[in-house]
Amino acid sequence: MVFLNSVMSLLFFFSQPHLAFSYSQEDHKPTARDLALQAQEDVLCWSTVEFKRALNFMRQNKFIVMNEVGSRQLAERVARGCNGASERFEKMLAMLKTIGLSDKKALEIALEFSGYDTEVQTNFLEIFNKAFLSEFFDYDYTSAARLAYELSKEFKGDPVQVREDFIELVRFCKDGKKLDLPLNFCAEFAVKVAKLSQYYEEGVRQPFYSFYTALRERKDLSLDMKTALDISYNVLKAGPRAVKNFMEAFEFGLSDKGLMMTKDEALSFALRMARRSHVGDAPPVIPSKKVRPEAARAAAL
Amino acid sequence: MLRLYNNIFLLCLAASHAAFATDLIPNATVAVATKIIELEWDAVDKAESYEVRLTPELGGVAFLSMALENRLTKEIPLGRYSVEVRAKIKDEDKFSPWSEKIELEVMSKSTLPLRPADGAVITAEGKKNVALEFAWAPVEKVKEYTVRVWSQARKNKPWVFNTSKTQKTLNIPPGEVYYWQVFFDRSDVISYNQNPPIFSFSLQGKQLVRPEITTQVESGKVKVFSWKASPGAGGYTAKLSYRPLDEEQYQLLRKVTLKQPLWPAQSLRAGQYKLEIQAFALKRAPSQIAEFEFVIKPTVDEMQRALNSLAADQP
Repeated sequence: MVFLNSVMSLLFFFSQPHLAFSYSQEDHKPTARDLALQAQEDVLCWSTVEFKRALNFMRQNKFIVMNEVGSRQLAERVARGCNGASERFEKMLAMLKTIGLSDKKALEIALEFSGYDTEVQTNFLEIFNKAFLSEFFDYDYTSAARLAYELSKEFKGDPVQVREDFIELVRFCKDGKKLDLPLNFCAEFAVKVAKLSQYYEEGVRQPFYSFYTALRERKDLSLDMKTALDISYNVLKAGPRAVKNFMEAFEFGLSDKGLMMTKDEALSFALRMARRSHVGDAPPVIPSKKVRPEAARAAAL
Repeated sequence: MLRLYNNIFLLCLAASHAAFATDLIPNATVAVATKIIELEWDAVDKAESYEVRLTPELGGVAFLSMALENRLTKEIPLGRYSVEVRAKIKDEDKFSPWSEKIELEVMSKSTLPLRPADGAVITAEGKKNVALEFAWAPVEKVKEYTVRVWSQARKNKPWVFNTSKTQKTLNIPPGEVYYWQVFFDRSDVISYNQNPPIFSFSLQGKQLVRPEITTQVESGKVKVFSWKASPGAGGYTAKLSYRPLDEEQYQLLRKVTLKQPLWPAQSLRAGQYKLEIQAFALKRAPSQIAEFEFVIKPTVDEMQRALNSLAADQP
């Protein structure tokens, strides 16, 4: 158990680039004590600060009116979400009341997200706003909330990467010089591809651009837009080695020294090879660098 | 042996309408004229209870009632019945034979409307006169009924008809509220001081066309509610209801009457709305209600202002 904790602490440390940098500057490796202190820091909470801020918000805010007893009870629940919980709670409540949700539902969701990591909550806010507001996708509330949940609390990978992926993929999809596709299609497409982010360390957007561009522009491929989009998704969902496997298989399929296939046969062969880029049903998920599931559970109680 | 009184008491305590749900027309109710009767018979020695059966002369299901004493009060529809009684004797697990049958006539002493129902709203198909059947519950021993029908415009010149039946069809023009009452002339020597109740119904002209809502929602906002005018409409009733996005029940926000098919939308908070428009005109049936549901959304700027206000609120 002690060994496992040490390994977890070590993994956490190397997932924090700023920490790694500070130690390398002083030219020494972190001791076990340094790691333990960092791990401790990450689970210690300034609960009274959170309680006071949440109570102050409930007493003064313009979005919802609650009596003193209710406000205190709510502030206690928010405080369980650890550092930053009251700010997450305030932002969610402000957004949900501004879009026209009932007090009950807005409080329920705000309280839930106060217990999640700030990046997870930011994902919900940004993706919901993009999906719901008329200036963007203009979805109805239920569809926008579904998209936002899929890429926030239900997403297993890194919330920062998936958010960047979603925003960049939407931009790419709508861009007049690139895809220039209808808004509704872009929203669904961006969510579908962004969900693959969990298999890619630096997100899926760059692998997607490179692969899609190759499928469209390489002389031996020159695929139409729809086929290129379909193949991009189907290959990328097989994990980070699938693109290389696909390309090698395609070239080998066409080659005189290889399989001497037609273009269509080589594409089918390449897709088969791409699908075999991992063992099991799906590629392994790269876990989020920082999440606080304990706090989320506590707030939901 | 159980015996009914030869002169059975038949006391009219009250006459009333009752809504008898019918199995034939689901969810429908039919107004049936009823009356409360009181029956009394000779008591039987050691009787624990009595069972009374009233069988309608015209068939149908008999009414079966239990009484603990030798009398029964019951509300039944007007008509003719045969009545019989039997007793359950104490400590014996059986009934006595049924008594002799007595014929019972349950009739009203004043008219009760059957059609058109009092307060009914009837819509005509076109502008021509409508053949409307007036029907009422029979009154005992009546030789002739006199029907009097009038509207506000014909207050001093009502239509008056005589008939021996309990219904009469009249051709009357649509677009009025009508009043009617039925007098009767009995064949016996009893003379009633009649002051029959007055019933009313509304016979409306052809229904107005449902308005077509043309309101535009642009970027999650509405500037004005608009709809195509219904031909012949004298005005419109407009209702605006609101609900939060996650709820199902609308709450009425505003209700106005307008002459023109336009209604400026004042600033609406974000949420789900329902606009309902109904056209109306004198002497015409109001149109069906046109409905339009829409969502008011904040702009990106409004959302940003709401989030920025949080930072300003912090001490």
